[in-house]
Amino acid sequence: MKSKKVAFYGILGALSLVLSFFESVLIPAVPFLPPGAKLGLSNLVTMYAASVGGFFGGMYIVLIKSAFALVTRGVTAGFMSLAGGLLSCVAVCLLIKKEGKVFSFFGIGVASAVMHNLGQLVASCIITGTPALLGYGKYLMVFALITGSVTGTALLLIMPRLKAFSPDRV
Amino acid sequence: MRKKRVAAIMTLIAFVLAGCGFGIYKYDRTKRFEFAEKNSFAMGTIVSQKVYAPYGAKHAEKVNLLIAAIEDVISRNVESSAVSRLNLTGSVSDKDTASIVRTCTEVSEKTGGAFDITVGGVVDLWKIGSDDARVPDEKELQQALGEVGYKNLTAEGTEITLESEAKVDLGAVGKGIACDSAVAYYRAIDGCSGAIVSVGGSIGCFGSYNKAGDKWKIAIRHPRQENAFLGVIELGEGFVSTSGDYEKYFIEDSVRYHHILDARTGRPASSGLISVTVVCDSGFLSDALSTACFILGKEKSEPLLEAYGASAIFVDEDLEITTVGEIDFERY
Amino acid sequence: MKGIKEIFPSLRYGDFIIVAAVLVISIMLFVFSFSDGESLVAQVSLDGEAVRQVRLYELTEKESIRVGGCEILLERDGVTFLSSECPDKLCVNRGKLKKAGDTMACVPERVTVTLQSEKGGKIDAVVF
Repeated sequence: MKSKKVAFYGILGALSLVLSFFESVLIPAVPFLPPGAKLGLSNLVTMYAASVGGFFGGMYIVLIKSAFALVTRGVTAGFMSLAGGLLSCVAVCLLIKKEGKVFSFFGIGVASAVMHNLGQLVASCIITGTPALLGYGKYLMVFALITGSVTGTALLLIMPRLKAFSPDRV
Repeated sequence: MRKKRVAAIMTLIAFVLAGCGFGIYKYDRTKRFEFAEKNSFAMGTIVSQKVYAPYGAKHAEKVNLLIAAIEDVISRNVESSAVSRLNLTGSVSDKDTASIVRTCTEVSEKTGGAFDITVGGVVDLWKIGSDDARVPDEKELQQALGEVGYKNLTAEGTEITLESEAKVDLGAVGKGIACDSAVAYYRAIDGCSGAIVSVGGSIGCFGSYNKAGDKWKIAIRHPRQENAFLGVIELGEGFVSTSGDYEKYFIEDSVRYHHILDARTGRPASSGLISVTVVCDSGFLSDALSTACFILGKEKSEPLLEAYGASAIFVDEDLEITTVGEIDFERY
Repeated sequence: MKGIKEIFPSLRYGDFIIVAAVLVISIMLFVFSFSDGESLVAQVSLDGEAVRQVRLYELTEKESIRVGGCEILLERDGVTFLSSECPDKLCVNRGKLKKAGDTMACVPERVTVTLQSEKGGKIDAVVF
């Protein structure tokens, strides 16, 4: 792998971890938060990576985040991060093909956030072995819609400016 | 292009509204009517009522009075009751009791004497259900058993005659009779959409608790596990009674002595069953039949149930469940 | 901020579809899972196996149980995680589970609590 790529994803990965930390500090300050709900700040990085680097690009970031979670918080955290990140990445890759005419990065951001939360929900059901947790879905979806709108808007604003930094041309 | 977009959005909105409308409709139909719930004490046990009618509470109180009145006529624990006087003097005149005796005699005939309300003297020996419960010795048991016999009990018109030293005990059917009375009252209430009553575990019901006309859900207590149910019966209207070896019993030398005595032997019935639940259109009969079927066992019960158009759920010692007749029952 | 003016023109109809779809699904999920009165039954599971089933509507007083590394309080009107040995304490911060369908899990301890309506619907009477 070209060293430029390594550097590129390395920086992005580090950025996602910093944002993740930032998120965890911010979360207690938000009331009425459905447990497991993410603000999606670090997901922004994943979305960006998937947008410019394709499926693998997004997955490099997902793997970095999951590995970090695995090492610092344990297997359950690692698995949840992996599940959420994977689905989010897949969502971006599927939708990005129609970006421009059908979807804008706003919609992609929303979809990605929703899929991320759903992925984590399903993962927690598998880990605890209780499908009943799925009852949470409705609250999570609404919440994801809101956070997704924010991250989606951010992505919408970022992409035109940062598309130039595609890893193949860096 | 623009028209397509607008059309797509409008269809989406239409779907959302349709979905909500449907949801609200379903919710409304299945939402329970307002009801009054009343619990009280009668016949030595708890009476629970749910009456879905205006002024439900007042009606529930009236029903409690009705049940108390019945108790005053048929209970052995009430000195002045018709049954007590009958046991004391050998004869009494009472219209309702006479009718009850006649039906009980019919059931006795159909069960070959296994079900018999003149078994009171033997019940007194065992005292099951009290702290003095014990296994009576052979001599006193045979002596009391000698007096037992439904043929000594006759009812002509309103006159009842008891020609032996036996004691009549209507404990096996009293609660069912109370349920009959309660449900008859509910049906007569103007604007009552449904009601369900439990008299010491004997159930009577009619109508429904919501606009959708959903059936009542009656759970059968698990014969061996506390706070657990065997399953649920769905019934629109009718009466349900259970006879089981777990309600009143004592254990001596690892033998369980329960309160359902076989009038032919004077001992707790042992037909291999631990619980029988009967569904019938009469509370009196559902009580009587559940006792009779418990004593007779499943095979011999079938003709009996057919004769009265009743259905039953049999549970044996291995917790195997078999049903005779049509019952909407779901095992847990 | 210059960027704000770019947002609305950039939106495409596909975005509306996505948002609407999420909304529709959420609404449907809400509509089809309303509580059926107070016939609450609490299911407590450890490692996917049901360890306790408590009919909350039959409780006469509060009950506190220990499952896995969590301490759980059962009351007539709901269930709460009192304490837990997990690092994130999300379960404890959840508060009281009060309606049928409410669920909370302590994922690190693999303990789940779900509130359900009495199976098959509210029982009207018990025959015994």
